[in-house]
Amino acid sequence: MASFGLVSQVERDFVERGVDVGIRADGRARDDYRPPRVELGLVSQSDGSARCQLGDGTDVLVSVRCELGQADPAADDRGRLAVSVECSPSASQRFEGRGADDLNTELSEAVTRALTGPQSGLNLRQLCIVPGMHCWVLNIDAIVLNYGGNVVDALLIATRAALADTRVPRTVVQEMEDGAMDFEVDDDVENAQPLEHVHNVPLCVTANKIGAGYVLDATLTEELCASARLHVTVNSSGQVCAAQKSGDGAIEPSLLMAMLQAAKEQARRLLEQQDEQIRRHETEIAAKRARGEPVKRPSIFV
Amino acid sequence: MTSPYAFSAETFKRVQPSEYYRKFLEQDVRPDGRAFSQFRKTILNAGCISTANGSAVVRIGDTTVVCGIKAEVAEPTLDQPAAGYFVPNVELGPLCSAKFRPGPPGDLAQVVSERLRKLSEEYIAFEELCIEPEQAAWVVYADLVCLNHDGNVLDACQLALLAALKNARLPEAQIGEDGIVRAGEAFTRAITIKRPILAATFGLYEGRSLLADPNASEEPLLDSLVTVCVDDAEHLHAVWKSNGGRCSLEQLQRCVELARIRFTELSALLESSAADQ
Amino acid sequence: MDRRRVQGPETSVVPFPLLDDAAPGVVAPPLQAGKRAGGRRPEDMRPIFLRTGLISQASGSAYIEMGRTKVACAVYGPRQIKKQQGFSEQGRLYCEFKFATFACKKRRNHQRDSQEKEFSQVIVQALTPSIRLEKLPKSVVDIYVTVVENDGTASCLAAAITAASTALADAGVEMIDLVAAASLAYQQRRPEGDAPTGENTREAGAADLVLAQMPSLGDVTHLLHRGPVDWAQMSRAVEQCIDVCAKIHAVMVHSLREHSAAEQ
Repeated sequence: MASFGLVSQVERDFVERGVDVGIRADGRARDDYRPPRVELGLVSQSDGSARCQLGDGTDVLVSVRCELGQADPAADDRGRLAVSVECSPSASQRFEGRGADDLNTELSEAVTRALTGPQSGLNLRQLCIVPGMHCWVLNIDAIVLNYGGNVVDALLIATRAALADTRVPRTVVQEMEDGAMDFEVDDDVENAQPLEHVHNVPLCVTANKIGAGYVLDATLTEELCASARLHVTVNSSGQVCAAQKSGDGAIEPSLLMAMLQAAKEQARRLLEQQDEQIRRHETEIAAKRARGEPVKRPSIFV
Repeated sequence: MTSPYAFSAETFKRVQPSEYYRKFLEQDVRPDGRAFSQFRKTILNAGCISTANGSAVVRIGDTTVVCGIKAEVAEPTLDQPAAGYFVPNVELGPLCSAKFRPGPPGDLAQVVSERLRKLSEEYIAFEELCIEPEQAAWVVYADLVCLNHDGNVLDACQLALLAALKNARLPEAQIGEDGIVRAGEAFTRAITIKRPILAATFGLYEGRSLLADPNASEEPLLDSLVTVCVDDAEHLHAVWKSNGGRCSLEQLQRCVELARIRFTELSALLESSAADQ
Repeated sequence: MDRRRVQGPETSVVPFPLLDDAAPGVVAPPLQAGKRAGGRRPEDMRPIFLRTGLISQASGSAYIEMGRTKVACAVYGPRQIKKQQGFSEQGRLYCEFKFATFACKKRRNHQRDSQEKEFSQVIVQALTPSIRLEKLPKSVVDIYVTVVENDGTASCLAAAITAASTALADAGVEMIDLVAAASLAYQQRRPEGDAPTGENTREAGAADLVLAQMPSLGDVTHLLHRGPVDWAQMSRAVEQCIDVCAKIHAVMVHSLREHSAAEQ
């Protein structure tokens, strides 16, 4: 991943020696993860949204919109996803204009890889309206509002939460006299359906190799000192869905296995935490509805 | 004691390429040892790529070109409802030579593609590529990738194209009631070639010497290039002359004679590779 | 509309197979007496043909064939870096990876798509740790890879990395070690090395792994894994790939030695 910012040799030494003895600049241990703060349902115009903040630095907002689209002839009984990640110029001056193009492509690919293919777990057949003709296309748009390290993890945490928050509008399909199928979209928000199998969507944990050791959930400075990075995507059954190394350095096999192991463990914990949070959120909303109170969507600026 | 003005052959070639070349031509030989009218050793290997409907690899000296044929189906155009399509394209990428930069095709690639397309109008039976008039027709994509550019890429491309078309096999296709084209499992249908046409390229040096099959170090030194395309009945189909420079009628006639001889050589090569299949 | 190329029709499609009952997704055949189709054991790779120096115009080149996969790679450089890219103390690697339009079962476009761009980045990341870039300030080494025939995308990528490293050695670029790459596909919980297209499918449960390593030092320079697998399978797969890399390294050294002996 392209590095944004400069780091001096002294800072680099400081970070590397710290990692050797297991102490990081903010006091965490090597395997410690900053607890993610996730808020659901922030963007009222979209069908699902979530924001994830890691510590003070990283801030990511993901919104999911359902749009009508043509079915792909190769997979005519399912819908599809379209992922786009953009680094906002407010996060860094280097993101102005076309500066962030490469980074945007890389991040979009990373999220797409986790969500598409056999490992994604989402039931895309649910998004089919008329087989071979119409389907729902989930447009997943993510903005990186602040770049403080470990953006890929934050993106996937926010995306998974946004997908849990997404409600797909109901469609009523009718067969016409000439055999053609026509459908009507139900505008009532109350009838919209949640996505199935969101708990199967995997999460990613990034391990950075610094010196001869590794750290999880690196801050921006630590990322700049890392010689190589390993992104490990794990789903709730404990299976490793994807793994990719990035960066210009090499990793010895024993360290590689240790990084994979640690990332897998951390992903499991994150998945449990997030599932718990989503359950709580839904119970609250259901309780509010039962009491007849209005369900107010929190604004992003509150 | 060597004079301070004497260079090694390599340095001389770099510093004064034209002089270096002239010294060889004065002795009636070329730097790579060939006679003026001698073509480089040509090797042809057809049917080597299993993912393509037809394929061929041609090496003329060091110049290497791979041709792959893929067939798909489309609606015919309004003004030619009973004809198929033939789409040749040459890729001269940065892989084959330092002269080419990454990006869209440059001038040479566009010229070669257009010449191949023009020539194909003489020998491709477009009506046979039609599946159902006004509804469906075959589109034959012929993509040529140059793997090593050592001069005279047009000859190599035309030979590879013809060899690939000869060994190309399409499935039998029918259009159904629903407008969807379905094809059989067996690839039995060949593409008809009305007559084989091959190209031979020559270069003219200083208006005097006629050199066959110039390589990459000779091409920039020549004042013009002449390409002659002949078929098996010794008819002329195209003559292209590029790079401004004069060419007398006798020289042109000599080119046509040499092209006919070259045609016989190459068509023997085509026959033997087709027999090998 | 690409005005610089000869144009065909706007859209064209591949005709459907005539069979009424569309064949269900190809399932890998079960092992017969412990061997796969073609008589290979699960951990065996296909025989490799690797030759350097076939592209005379390039500084260094390599052509590799693994079964029916055919990949050509040319290296130009070190060259001067463009002014707009600014001063850099370290050299840079630039790679362009492209499938030929006829290389895969479905015809590809002339323009590079996102998969090819991703593979280009993968090749750069796999090779950078092995090159002594600090010896090439203000320079770039260009690597161009063209896949002439693709018989298994994961093994194609592994072949491309191997060919690129051999071509760099052929070009005389100073390096710490050669980079060998191996691939592996999981078929119904069975890891199989170097799978061709017929065996590797994208059905539920299919997964593949590509691993690049510097065999003499033992460091892994790249890892790319897709598809859900259990932890135990994954660690076994990584070990299997590392073993295969050592064998591929022997082939690379052999072909480089042959070529330099032939030159003398």
